[in-house]
Amino acid sequence: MPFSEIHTIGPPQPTEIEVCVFGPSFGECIIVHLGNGHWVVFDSCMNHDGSEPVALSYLNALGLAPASAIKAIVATHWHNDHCKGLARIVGAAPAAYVWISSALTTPEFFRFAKRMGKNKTTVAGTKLSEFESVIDEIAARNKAGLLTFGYASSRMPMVQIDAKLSGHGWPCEVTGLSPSPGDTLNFLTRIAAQMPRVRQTKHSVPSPSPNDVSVATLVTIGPLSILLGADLEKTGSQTTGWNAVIAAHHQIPFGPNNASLYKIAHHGSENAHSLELWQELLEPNPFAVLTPWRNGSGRLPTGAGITNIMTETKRALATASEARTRRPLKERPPGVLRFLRENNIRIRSLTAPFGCVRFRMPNLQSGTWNVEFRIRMHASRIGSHEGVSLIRPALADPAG
Amino acid sequence: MTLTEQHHRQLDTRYSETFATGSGGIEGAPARTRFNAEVLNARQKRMKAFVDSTHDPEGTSLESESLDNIGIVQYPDSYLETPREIKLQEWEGQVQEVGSRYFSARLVDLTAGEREEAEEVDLPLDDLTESDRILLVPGATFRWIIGYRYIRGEKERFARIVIRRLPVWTEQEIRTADREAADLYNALFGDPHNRAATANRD
Repeated sequence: MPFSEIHTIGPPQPTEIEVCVFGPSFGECIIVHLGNGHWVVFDSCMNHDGSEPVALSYLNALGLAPASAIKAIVATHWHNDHCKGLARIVGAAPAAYVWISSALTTPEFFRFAKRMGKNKTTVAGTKLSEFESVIDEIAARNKAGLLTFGYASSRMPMVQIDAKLSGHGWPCEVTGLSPSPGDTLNFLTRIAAQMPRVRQTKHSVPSPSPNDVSVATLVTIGPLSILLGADLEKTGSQTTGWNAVIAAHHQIPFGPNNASLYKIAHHGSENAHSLELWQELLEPNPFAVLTPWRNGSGRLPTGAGITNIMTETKRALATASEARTRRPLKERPPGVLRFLRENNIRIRSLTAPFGCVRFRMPNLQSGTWNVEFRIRMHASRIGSHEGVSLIRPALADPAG
Repeated sequence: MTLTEQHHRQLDTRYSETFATGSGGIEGAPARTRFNAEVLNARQKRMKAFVDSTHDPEGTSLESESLDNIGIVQYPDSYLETPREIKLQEWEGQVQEVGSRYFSARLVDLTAGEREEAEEVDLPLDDLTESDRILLVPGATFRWIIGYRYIRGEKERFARIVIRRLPVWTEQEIRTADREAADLYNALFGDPHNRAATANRD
């Protein structure tokens, strides 16, 4: 069934669970239907033509009003590949609770963001501008008396829906797995070192790695568990990153069962791979989906990263195929094209027709995920399908 | 014809009876400063009248005279010396990585009026001047321009990469930013004094 007929497919039934993972080769957004019209949005990226956050495009295409459908928005971290358009989603869902990593709500980070914001030397602005807009929107809500803001950290219950209201008779909970106190301390130490100072030459926001304040999340719906890894990485310390999550799990287990669906952390990077995570938080051979990432010559996942994933599951998916998702270059004067050709300079577009993998579970008792189709975005609509029940062994070949 | 060319042609016509002084910047090019004999004569008469009336030849009241009236034609920097450029394409770039022969960057298409990075490219380090290479670090910003220029009537294609020399954060900016950060924090979490008072009541 082509995706253009999504109107006939319609939104999920009240009893149906949906996880939709959007990801071009730069950017990530996940939306989850917990049941009975309760949607949660994790991060944001733009749709195929950059005109709107993809979460809003998708809900509108399903015939749903984002203002009433979105119950919570989770900003897992502040990097621009996870934040693009987030302020517009927050604006479009005034009643939605907004959750931000606890480390990013400290006075130190606010000072860092505002100081960086004084660097007006580039047209593109700072990488923090979207995050700043989100905070401004939340502050405006607070001023209006709408207290819809929380800071996420390990074991923080962000969304709770009673069984009577969930549509399927099971209680739902969205719980933060990170950041740990150790993550927050590390982050603030790095921010202090990078803090802009008087008479220092203006610079851009420094390299964001490691992603140790990223909010990894566990979604539990009755017996079902879904693990959303955000960009959390594994570090050498037992008190930070995935090691801290595993240590906390050893003390008091997260969720009633291991997760059957995993949004792979940090675009499948080797740094985010944790054997303990696969063994202790996930079912054997779970569905695993990643959003590819590229920046300059940097590519995720790497070949080794793919091998790590494929060793743990044969049901691994990707939202986009690097080789096929690039938009054609825009038209330019012949003199420019000739110059580029003669000097062997290749300009690559960062925007891409969109990729997405959608999971639906009609019956919680069965525990069976339907991978209905893979969506690709096109010019005039959200997109058309490209295969049904797509399980891409081609993940072993990222160019595939 | 460009506006500058029109302006120069008008000046040439207006001051057809002129004589030149100094040497041109380019061999064979006309001098940059010209004197109009009529205007000079008129000025000398005014000067004489002024000196006669004040007996103060060092007076500075003439400083307010416009350039047109004192007989000196100040040409702008000669278009014959500065190549006239036509930009076909201009990007703002931000350096992502610097390799041994190339550096990669994300680009904002300024010609298209864009304000966000939508393209990326690998550019050869050879295209940079030595002084720019020192500034080439991840996060550095630059302008990349491709176009045509005219030098002595010849049209040629050019490409230029200029790494931006960035200013420093000023004390005023830092102070303003810190105040905005504190205001924002207080807007979200309440004023710290109020929080302390609440804690004491508890």
